Amino acid sequence: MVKGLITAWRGRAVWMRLRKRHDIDDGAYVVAFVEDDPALNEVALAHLQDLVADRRARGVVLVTNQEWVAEQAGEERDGVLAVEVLADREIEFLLSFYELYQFTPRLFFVSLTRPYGNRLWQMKGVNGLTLDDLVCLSMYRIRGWAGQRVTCA
Amino acid sequence: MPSAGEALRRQSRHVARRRALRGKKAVLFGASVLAAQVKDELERHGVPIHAVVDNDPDKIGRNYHGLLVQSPEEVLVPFCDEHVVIVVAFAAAREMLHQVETLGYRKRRQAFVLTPLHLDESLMSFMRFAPHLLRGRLTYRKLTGGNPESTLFIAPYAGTGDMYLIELFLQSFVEREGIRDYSLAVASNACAQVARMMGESRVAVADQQALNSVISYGRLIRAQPTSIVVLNDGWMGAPTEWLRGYKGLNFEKMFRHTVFGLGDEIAPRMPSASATNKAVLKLFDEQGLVPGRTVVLSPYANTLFHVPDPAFWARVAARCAERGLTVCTNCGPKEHPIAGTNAARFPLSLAPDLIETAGYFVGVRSGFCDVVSGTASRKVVLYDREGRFYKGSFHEYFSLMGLGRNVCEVEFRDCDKEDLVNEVIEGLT
Repeated sequence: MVKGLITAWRGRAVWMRLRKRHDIDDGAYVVAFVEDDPALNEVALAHLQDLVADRRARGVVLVTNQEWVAEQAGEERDGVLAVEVLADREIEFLLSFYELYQFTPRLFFVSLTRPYGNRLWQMKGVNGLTLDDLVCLSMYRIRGWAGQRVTCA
Repeated sequence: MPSAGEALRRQSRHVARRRALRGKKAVLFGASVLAAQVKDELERHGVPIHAVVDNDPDKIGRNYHGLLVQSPEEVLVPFCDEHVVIVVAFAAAREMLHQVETLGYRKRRQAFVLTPLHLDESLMSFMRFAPHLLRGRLTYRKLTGGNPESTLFIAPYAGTGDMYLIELFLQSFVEREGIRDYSLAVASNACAQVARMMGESRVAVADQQALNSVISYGRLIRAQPTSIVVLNDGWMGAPTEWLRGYKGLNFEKMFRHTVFGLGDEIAPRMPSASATNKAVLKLFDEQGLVPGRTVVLSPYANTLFHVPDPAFWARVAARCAERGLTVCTNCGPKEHPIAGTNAARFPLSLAPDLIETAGYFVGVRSGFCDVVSGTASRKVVLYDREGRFYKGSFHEYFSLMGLGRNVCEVEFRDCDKEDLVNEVIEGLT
């Protein structure tokens, strides 16, 4: 238990650094790409604009330990404020802190299995659920998502 | 520790006393089920709600407890000093507060946040959470009897409908996972009754905060998937929560797939109901009720829904009596029977047999309806037409049609209309 708390504490430090560096509380969001799943990551990258539109956000900061994601995101995508490449262990710390309790509504994880207890992987294909649905509705919590691009700005 | 609803009601009373609200038009931000309790509490304490706003496009334009849901910009732009915004939310409270602050409404002057969650990234929150984890560890040990090989199932929500649904699939899950030893922890005595009625023997009742602390502890230590299993489709911010009601994902499908990962081919294990239970027949005899010719009304059950008024129920009772049926009301200890009916007070474990014996049932949708859904009796179940639960209407999400037998479902808006009474009576035939 103590080990878990220490890991979460380190995750807090990672978060505080991101929050301060990118002024997250001022209408920005952090999207953490934590899986080596190209199909999922591609869908999640494609819907960043929808997230920004739905939240009327200033933009998103991408956080990842996946080189491919960093390369793709670096290609001047609209709405992306910055891309932060973190070490695997820093991603683990961040996940640990989020698993401890949801300390912010401004952080999203692109994953079907994480944070701990995430059962989205069981829902793929159920009742015709697509990866787009899972990303937009469950991971990004886009309120107006109805299976297509969000248009409100 | 108070429940989320209690915490919000307490905060509502506190806010209602604030000088900043006097003479202002209160705008409720968040058209949720919980926010309805805030609205009631504020209005009871002299703060009428002038408008309701929400960011969810599914909710905008709909009726919400007598008010039209509008977008925040429609009501709050341009800035108006006459408005005070009352934000009601769980995790998104800070996000919503930031939104209204950007529109010019200052916290504690024109904007107030009511939330049962006060956790953020601050040192204070982090430190406050540690004892919660310790409690979780102790409770976990207590509930498993210190046996690390045992699986602990946690049903954290106190609703009996959830408990019933869990029990329909739990044994299939236990068999699939090869679980040999397990215990079940539930959040209310009513849930324990339902679990025992469905054949569970190792059931423990703990308060919801204690169960939450065990779940948090499990997350912290990243417990094995079959050592602590949370029996809910979206508890404590689980991302699956947001799929509720989307693409036909109703109550049953969410539990089946999200909680248990069971395919549609797995049949639910429905409990049997008997019309020859002696305790039920004795109750019928005492109350002058006729087996097979009795309508049980269930107007009071704990529910998320807006409930029709007593005059409606009295009218239903009268119409049933005209048709030669005896009528009783499913009452709790402090509730009164509907005019013209007898009070039927019985333990929840008797409910399926009682409804099976009665022959007819009319109730507002609640967990009680789940518990009796498998009976052969003719059942009419009422749903608030205006209500939304995540991406679906109340009816779409909570419909019993997938599991219930002999059910007629009716959506209502105005409960005092004779045509609703007619619909109910037609539904019984």
